[in-house]
Amino acid sequence: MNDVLIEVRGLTKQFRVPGRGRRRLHAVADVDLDVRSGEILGVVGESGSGKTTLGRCLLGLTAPTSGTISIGGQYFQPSDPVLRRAVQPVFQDSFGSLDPRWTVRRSVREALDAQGIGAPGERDARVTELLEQVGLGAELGESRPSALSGGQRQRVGIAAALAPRPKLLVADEPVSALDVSVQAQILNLFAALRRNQGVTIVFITHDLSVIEHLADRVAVMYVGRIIEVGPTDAVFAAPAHPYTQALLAAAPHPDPTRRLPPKLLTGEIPSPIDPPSGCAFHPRCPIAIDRCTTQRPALLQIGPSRLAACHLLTAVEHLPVPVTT
Amino acid sequence: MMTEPIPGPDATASGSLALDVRGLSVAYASARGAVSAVDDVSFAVASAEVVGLVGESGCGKSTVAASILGLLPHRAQMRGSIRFDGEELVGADAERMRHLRGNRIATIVQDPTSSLDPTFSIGEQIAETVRAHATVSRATAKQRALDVLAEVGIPDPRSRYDDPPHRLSGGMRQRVVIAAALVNDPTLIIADEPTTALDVTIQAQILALLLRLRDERGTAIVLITHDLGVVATVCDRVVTMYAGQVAEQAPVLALFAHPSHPYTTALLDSMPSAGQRPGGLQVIAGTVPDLAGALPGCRFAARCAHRGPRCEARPPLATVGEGHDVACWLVAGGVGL
Repeated sequence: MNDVLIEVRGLTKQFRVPGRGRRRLHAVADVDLDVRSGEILGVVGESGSGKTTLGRCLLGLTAPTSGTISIGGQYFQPSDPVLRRAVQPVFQDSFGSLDPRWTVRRSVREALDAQGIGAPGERDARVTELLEQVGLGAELGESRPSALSGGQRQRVGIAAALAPRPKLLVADEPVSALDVSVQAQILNLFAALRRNQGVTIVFITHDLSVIEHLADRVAVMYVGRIIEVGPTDAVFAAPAHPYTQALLAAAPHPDPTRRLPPKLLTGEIPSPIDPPSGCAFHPRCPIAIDRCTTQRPALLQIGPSRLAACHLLTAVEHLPVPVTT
Repeated sequence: MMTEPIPGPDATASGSLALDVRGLSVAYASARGAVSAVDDVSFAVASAEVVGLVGESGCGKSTVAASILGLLPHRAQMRGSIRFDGEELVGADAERMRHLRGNRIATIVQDPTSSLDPTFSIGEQIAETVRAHATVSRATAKQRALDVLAEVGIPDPRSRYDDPPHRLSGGMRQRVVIAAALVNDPTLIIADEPTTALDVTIQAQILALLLRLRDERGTAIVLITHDLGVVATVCDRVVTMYAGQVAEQAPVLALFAHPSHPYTTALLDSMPSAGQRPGGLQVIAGTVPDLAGALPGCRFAARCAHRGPRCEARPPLATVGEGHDVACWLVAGGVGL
């Protein structure tokens, strides 16, 4: 198994809710997570699951309320420029923040200049190399953002993110705004970057089909907590947590012989401001028992490389054991 | 193999046609010449049928919707025929279209916030929709609004009636929009990306709701979407559009089992599937053509792996199966000369 690159321990982020009282929004609650070197870890969840806040904490853009993040064994301090360069973002519209008057080359060059990466004389060659890595030809380097398609703009965003040779890319919904044929190009690019350069990627999305295609492992979040983690193929083949089961059943498949499941999850996603007691999923859970309403289930090992937080799953103490869920 | 275009579903076999679009073209004047946003599009929707209009950005699917709703900008030039429940809508006056919209033709859009007035309660907005189209008392309108809110699954409608839209979650707001669309018992619903902004578990609830209403009321639904998963889940028939034209239309099972237009095939192959394959996902090289100026041949040809000399002429709509038509020379005698 690959070395652990990122270790997240007890990560919690609360936001103060404006208005009277001391109400807090529990965006991320007590998250433990390992990201292995060279893997693509998918983080999936619906609104209010905390997946975006978790990504922002990894990027040093949001300071956690408590808990720690370490990279390669060193505690992550957002103020440390070396560590900060090691984690780079790819957003839904990465290129939106770049100057519309600048050419693609100049924008990517700026990413190098601003962070003082490499000797100034070598930066032009590095820009050429970066554009090549993301599949943008030299002629597109002279284009301005307005002349680029959505897919090309996202490639420029990825080139800028790769500029400081990061150890980790945190990609938050990087293909959600793209048409499916363009989305395919960007997914292929992420797969190639990992394969050819060993870049580790945390890929945050609501889109289960993208996770299933791209991610080696998947972490499922619900109302601020990770409720299941495991190898993508194993989790998709046999989801353990009742929420993961319901989520996968509700996802539309491009297969007209599979229509909507007869039993859909009812109810709404709870607000992270006043999350339900016990297991946050208990009000919607078809198999909840009394204990689920009062006691929060811990994230425990339920099989080889698989963790889930559910009272109705049996934790295993010794490996290997068959997965019996 | 027949190469004659055939009409859509047989009106006598599948109930009456709620909508029959024939040869619809929409063009805009521009400095670079006429922009052909929709070109010679034909399809039909029977009552109690869900027809998916699918394609990527710029394929013309939303322009088709705006044409049916009479909401095209004034400068748009529309040709062809749109018959709604037997009545011709192309050339209908604005007053008539206003009467049909929100009454017999309802619409559901992607963002429920944009179709709800933030200053009125959700109940009042629905009651207002009733009173805009029928002379009924306030009490009757309120009762109808309460009934329809219950029907779309708003818990305890009487207590939510006076809530402004912002008190509701996104999924609940979309239910309110659907309630407003339904309250006058429309013959046809145009749903433009109705679940795109919703979470997966909520999307499934809304799709189930649309299907239940179709089953119980026999409402015809045109579902406009880019999501082939949603299409496969709820549609009876599918119309694939590319660059303003119909590339392929087929019953949903046939479209996914035997996609016959190279664009449909490429679109299906570019969808993420479980696990990565050595070659990666199929991508469609190139970009959608500029729709200004003359476009005599197949509009997909420049990006098509199968193109041949014949593709410089516009392909006819050829029938490859029951209700399955394809606009491609590959199925109309080959791409060679």
